[in-house]
Formats: sequence, structure tokens, C-alpha cells
Amino acid sequence: MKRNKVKLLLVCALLVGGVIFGVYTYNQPIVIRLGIFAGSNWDVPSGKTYEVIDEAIAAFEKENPNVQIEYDSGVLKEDYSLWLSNQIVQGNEPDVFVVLNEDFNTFSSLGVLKNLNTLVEEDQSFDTDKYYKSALDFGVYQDKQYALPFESNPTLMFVNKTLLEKEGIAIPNNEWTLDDLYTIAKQVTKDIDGDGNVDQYGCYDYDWLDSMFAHSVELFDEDGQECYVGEDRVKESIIYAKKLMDLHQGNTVTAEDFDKGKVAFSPMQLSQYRTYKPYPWRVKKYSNFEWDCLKMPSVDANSGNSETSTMLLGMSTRTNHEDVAWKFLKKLSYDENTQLHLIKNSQGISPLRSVTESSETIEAIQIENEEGMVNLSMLTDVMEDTTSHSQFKKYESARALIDTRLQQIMMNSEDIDIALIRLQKEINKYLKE
Amino acid sequence: MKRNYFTSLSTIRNIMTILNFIIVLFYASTYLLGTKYIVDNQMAREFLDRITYIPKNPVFLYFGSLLLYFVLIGFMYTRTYHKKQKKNHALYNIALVGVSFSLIYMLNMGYNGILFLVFCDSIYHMKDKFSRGLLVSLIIIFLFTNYDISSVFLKMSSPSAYFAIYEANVRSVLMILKNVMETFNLLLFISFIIVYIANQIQENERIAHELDMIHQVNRELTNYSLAIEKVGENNERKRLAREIHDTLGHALTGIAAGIDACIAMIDINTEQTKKQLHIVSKVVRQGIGDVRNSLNKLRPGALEHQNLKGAIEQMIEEVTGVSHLQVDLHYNLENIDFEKAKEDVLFRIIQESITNAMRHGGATKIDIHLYQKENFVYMEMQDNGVGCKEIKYGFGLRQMMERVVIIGGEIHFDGANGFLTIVKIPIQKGEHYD
Repeated sequence: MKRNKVKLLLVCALLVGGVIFGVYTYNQPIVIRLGIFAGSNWDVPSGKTYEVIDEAIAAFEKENPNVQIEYDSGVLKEDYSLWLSNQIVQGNEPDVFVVLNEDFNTFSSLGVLKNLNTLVEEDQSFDTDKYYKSALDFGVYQDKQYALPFESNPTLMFVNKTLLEKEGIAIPNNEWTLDDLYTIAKQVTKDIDGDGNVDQYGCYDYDWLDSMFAHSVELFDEDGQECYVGEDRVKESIIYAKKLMDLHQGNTVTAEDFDKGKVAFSPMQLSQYRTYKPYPWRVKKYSNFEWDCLKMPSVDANSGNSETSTMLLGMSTRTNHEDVAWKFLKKLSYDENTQLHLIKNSQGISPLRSVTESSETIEAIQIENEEGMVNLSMLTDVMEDTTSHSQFKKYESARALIDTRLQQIMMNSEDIDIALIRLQKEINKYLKE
Repeated sequence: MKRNYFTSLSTIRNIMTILNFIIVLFYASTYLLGTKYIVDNQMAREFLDRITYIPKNPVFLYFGSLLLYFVLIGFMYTRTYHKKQKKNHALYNIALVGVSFSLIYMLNMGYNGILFLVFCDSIYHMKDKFSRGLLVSLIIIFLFTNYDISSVFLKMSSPSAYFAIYEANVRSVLMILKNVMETFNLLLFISFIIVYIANQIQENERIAHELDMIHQVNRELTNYSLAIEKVGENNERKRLAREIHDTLGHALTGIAAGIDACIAMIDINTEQTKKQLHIVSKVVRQGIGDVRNSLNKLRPGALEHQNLKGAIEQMIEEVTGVSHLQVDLHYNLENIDFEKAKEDVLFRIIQESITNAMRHGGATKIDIHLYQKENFVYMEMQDNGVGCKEIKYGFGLRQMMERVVIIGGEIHFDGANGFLTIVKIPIQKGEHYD
């Protein structure tokens, strides 16, 4: 009898405690942590690191009065990967965070990033068609959406206008092909100062990967189990890159040559263009010649392919407030106001079609370059034409491995067929380990 | 001896409890301190590349696994006091399996030796089928909780990755520590099992010995009962002999003497002889009376004190009182006063038939009709048992027939539909009254 009373009292106390705790936690503001780094994702100088984020947070907190967004400021981009890894190992990662491209595959495979497929499907107000497909696909790992694009940065081709004018060559238009590039590069490659050594070059930093994107070739299969580096189409693009390099007659083209205006072409990211084209940064670099950017050349006029880097935002699997985190993720990635603000303050381009094609973006880019060639229709073209590559855990390391080996092969002028087949075998073995 | 056995088992169990606590603490600390080591040495990114799944929050893991271990121990040790409640037993087992699995999962399947402890505990208490169920589930969990097997189905970071972060010398010390403790745990488990099995063997021997003794007592009892039966039979025989000697013998002797006297006197004095014969007749009647009295002593107990109807009803009541049998008696013999012998026979037949219906037919319902038609009394008895195609006349049926024949009646059996017994007994003059 007495024991039963004690039991009853205990149960009552637990119930009351539970209710009090529930009411208390319900009234506490929901705190969402954001993981972000200082500085530009595109390694260009940028002074307005947190401006866009702060504004988005203010807007979001106004819309959701019970939510508080926090972030650790001052983490540099080069420390960010380690900082985030530390948080993950301690089980303390932010609810929403920026994912660096080199971390994306690892984090997706480890289950650090939340699979967003169901959230995307269930959210009526979310339409994936509003994104450029290539940008959205950047956040796809093994057929699952693990991250949303925040900012895109397409690759363009830098043209040294002064050099081409001096050589009497017309500046190519945006429909130019790989053959055009080769022809012009061959024309401009010569010895200017007459010391018997070639000192004016066609191309700087155009490597086998650029060539491969131009040929629209896949390097790996979907699951990252097989590598195609020895296949004919890949070989073709590697041979093209080698041909361009061979024009230099054994000389290595350096960044210094490029800065001095001795090179006609070089791939360049939009972020660099947007940074160095307008005042004040234009004074710092490329000040002794006129220059502009074109679309990257492709194998023929109809197909166009280049690489577009995309900065990704992901969500933690272990977040306690999935709905709010998803809302905030959308606020950053999907909200047009945030994205417009981003385009004005950063150097990339929005992954959202409506924002990139809006009059505000046109204005922003046109103010930056009064007489430039980079215009909106070209950027839209570039964004539509880029394809995404397959994503798997060893993608980055396998690509780096191929890069090193290919440079050796090109330098040593080995028999390219045999070397590539051997390389393919080596990479396949690595992938299957 | 018994006391000794339980002390050694619980000693081993207690040591295992302490050892397992140390091992759980070791693993939990390895994860917690390992994480600190990783963060302090800026190895986190590298570490993430080495594992296959996102690691658990180390602080949560540390306190969670310790808490789970205490819950497990709590369950194991409080269980001793609730030995008698079966339902509680099953609940305890389910709780034990659940808690131990969660604990192993919490430690990333790095250590499943905890199951040995649970195994020992359940053997310690194994008395019912629930414990056997627990043993089976423990074996399945044991197979499943190996990291190499479970990581195929359940995603978690590998425990070996946490050891791999340290430099070779630290790592080897940790490995030695870990292996020594796990081996010691295994050894304790084996010794527990050995003690348990040894005790089981002894227990079995003891039971076999007791069974032997019981058999012997049983045999003695059988012999004793046979002897008692013999003695009873002998006594009865003696009583019968005495009875015959005292009654019939006495009367017959008197009759013989009287008749002898009559033979000698009949030609001399007829009057005297007549007188003598009257005396003889009186002796004969007295003899008959004595015989009847003697027979009365041998009658069934029920009939001794009441009439036929009452006796049958009492007998039915006795039978139905001890079985599920339903017996309906329709007694329509109001104006008859049978000879005692006939009542006996009828009573015995009804008794025997009811016994047969239960024993051989498996009947649950019996109808008995006793009625009078012309100069016969009929007894019909029908049961709802299995009946029989061919009637085998064993001792019971044959005795019934013999009895009926003695009193000049007839008896029929029919086993086609249940079992039907019909008895027909003639009524003599004088037995009927109005």
C-alpha cells in the first residue's frame, strides 16, 4: 500500500517534470549554427565577407522570430576544412554549413551531410528547375542531393587584346572552337626579341582538364569504379592539350610571362574577371595591356563545355531542427533577395536562373566593365552548357593522381598510348581498393 | 556443496562485472580522449578520410555508454530478488537484450564481450523457457555485433580508426591492454561455464540416485500390497468357513439327527414322528434364516441400508461426483419388492455397466430405464460412448451373464451405437404387491 503510494508520487513527479521541461524547451529560441569562412571562396581579394550572410540572417530572424542564427566568425578559408572536421569529430558540427568542393565527396559518403531528397520532394515551394542544372548537380553524390549551390563561378577564357591587335589578328567571337584557339596560338608563338628563343606564347595554364571539358568527355563512370583515361575520346583531348603545349618548344610559360602580357590566352574564372577588371584592383594586375574574357572554346561551335566551380551549402545529418535548418538553407541558396545581394557583393554568379538573368545582375556586371565582352547572354550560355562530373569519395584524389602522372607523361614524351593504358590500369586499381 | 557452488558462480560474476566496467570505461575513454588527441594534433580531416561513417559525439558516447552499463548491471542485480515472477522474468530478458545491444552499438561494435556477462547472468537464472529464448538471442547478437559483420548493415565509424591515430608505441600499449582485458574476460566466462556444467553433472547424478531409491520403495510397496491382499483373502475364507460351520453345519447336523430319529420312530409312533418332523422343519427354517443373515453380511454396502432405488441413486451420485459423466435414471418400479439376490444382481450389473461405459466407451452421458412389462422387469442402459463393433466377453460381461442366468433372467448387449445393455428378469409371485 505504502509502496504503491510512493510509486504513484514518483510517476506524478516525473510527469510534472516532463511537462515543465517540455514547456521550457518549447519557449526557448531555436538556435541554428552556421558554418562559414571569412574571405572569398574563389581566392580573390574580398572585403565584404559577412555582409551578405548577416543580411540574410537578419531577414530570416525577422521572418522566424523564435529562431536565432549563430556563426563563428574569423575562420579563414584555408583553415575551414580542418575547423569543420574538428567540429564533426567532436559531434558538434553546425546545422548548416559551407562545404568545400574537396570535402563534399568525403562528407557525403560519411553521412555528415543530410540527404536532402525527401526535403526537396516534400517542399511544395521548392522548384529545382529554378537552378541551373549543372549548379544543382554539383551537390549530387551518388544520385542523392546532399547540398545546394550557393554561388557559381564559371571558367572563361582571358584574351590579351593588345597582343592580338599587335599581331593583326581579329578577336574571336564567343562561338569559337578548339581549332581556332590552336590556329591563333600557333600564329602568335614567336621569338620577339630575336635571341633565338620563343618568348611570346599562345596559351598559359590550359591543361588537359580544360581540354577534356571542351571535348565533353567523362573521366570516370558514375560510381567511381572505373576510369576512362585510356579511352580514345579522353586520349584525343589529352593529345590536344599536348599539342598546345608543344607549341612552346620546350619552354615553360610562367605566370610572370602572362602578367607581362606575353601570352594571348589563359583560362580565367569569372571571379577573377570581376575582381581585376574594375578599379581598384585592375591597377594591381594586367595594367600594361588591354584584356577581356571570352567563352571557353569547344570542340565545335554547337557544343560548349567548361568547368564551373560551385560553392555548396549543406545541412548536418545530426541537426535537431531539420525544418528550420532547411528553411534557412533555402533562405541562403534559394531566396532571390539573398542571391541578388550576393551577386552585388561577391565575385561569382547566382546558381538561380531568375537572379542571373535579372536586370540587377546585368547592371552589376555592366557597371564593372563598361566596354567589356562579358555580357549576360554569354554567362547564361556558359552556365547552361557546363556539365557536372560524377561525384564519389575518391574523385579528388584520383583526379590529382591523374594530373601528376599526365604531367610526367607529357614532359617525358613517352609513348602516349601505352602510357595512358598503364595509367588507366593504375587508377582503376586505386579506385577499387 | 550447493552453497559453495553458488558462491563461486556469483564470485565469478562479480569479477566479470567489475572487469567489464573497466573495459567499457577503457573503450569510452579511448573514443573521448582519442577525439581530443585528434583535435589537438589537427588530424581531424585526415581522420575523416580514414573512417567510413560520421563518428558519434564522443561526450555523449562516453556518458551514454557508462549510463547504459549501469542500467544493465542494475537490471542484472535487481533481478535476483524477483525470481518467482515469470512475467517480470520475460520483461527483464527483453530489457537485458535491448540494453546490451544499445551499449555495444554505442561503443561502435568495438567490444561485444559484455554479452558474456549477460550470458553468464542468464545462465545463473536459467530456470524457464524465457531464459532459453534469451540465450538464443544473445548468440545471434553476439554474431551480429562483430564490427566486421555489422558494418555491412549498420553504418558507424570503425573502432580501430581510433587506435590507428596514435603513434606506434602508444598504439601497441593500448592494444596489449585491450587484448589482455578481453582475454581475461573470456577466461572468466569459460571458468563460469565449467563450474556451471560440473554442478549440472553432479545434480544429475544426485537426481538419478534419488530416482533409484524411489523405485526401490515402490517395489516394496507392491510386495506389501500383494501380501495384504493374500491375508485378506485368507481371513475372508476363514470367516466363510466359520459362518458355514456355525449356521449351515449346525442346522444340517440337527436336521440329520432329527430325520434319523424320524426314520427310527415312523413305524412305531406316527404321532411322535410328526411332532419330530415339525421340530426338524423348524430347524430347517431357522437354518434358512441363519443363511439369509450370513448372506446379508456379504451384500453390497449400499443395499444393506436402503432399497434398490436409493442404492442406485447413491451409486450414481458417487460416480457423477467424481467424473464429468451425466447419468439419467428413469425408475419406474414402484410396486415391486425383489428378492435380495435379484436386487444384488441388478445393482451389480448397473454398477459394472456404468464402469464399462466410462472406462471403455469414454461415454459422457448414460440413460438408465428400469420398468416393468408383463411379468418381467427390464433394465435398459444406453450410453453415448464409442461402442464396439464386436463384443468381446471379458471377465466383467461374463460375470454379468452368469449372475443373470442364476436368477433366471436374460441379458443382451449391443455395441453398434454407443453401448446398449438390456436385462430381462422374471417376476415371481409374491414379489408383486399392490
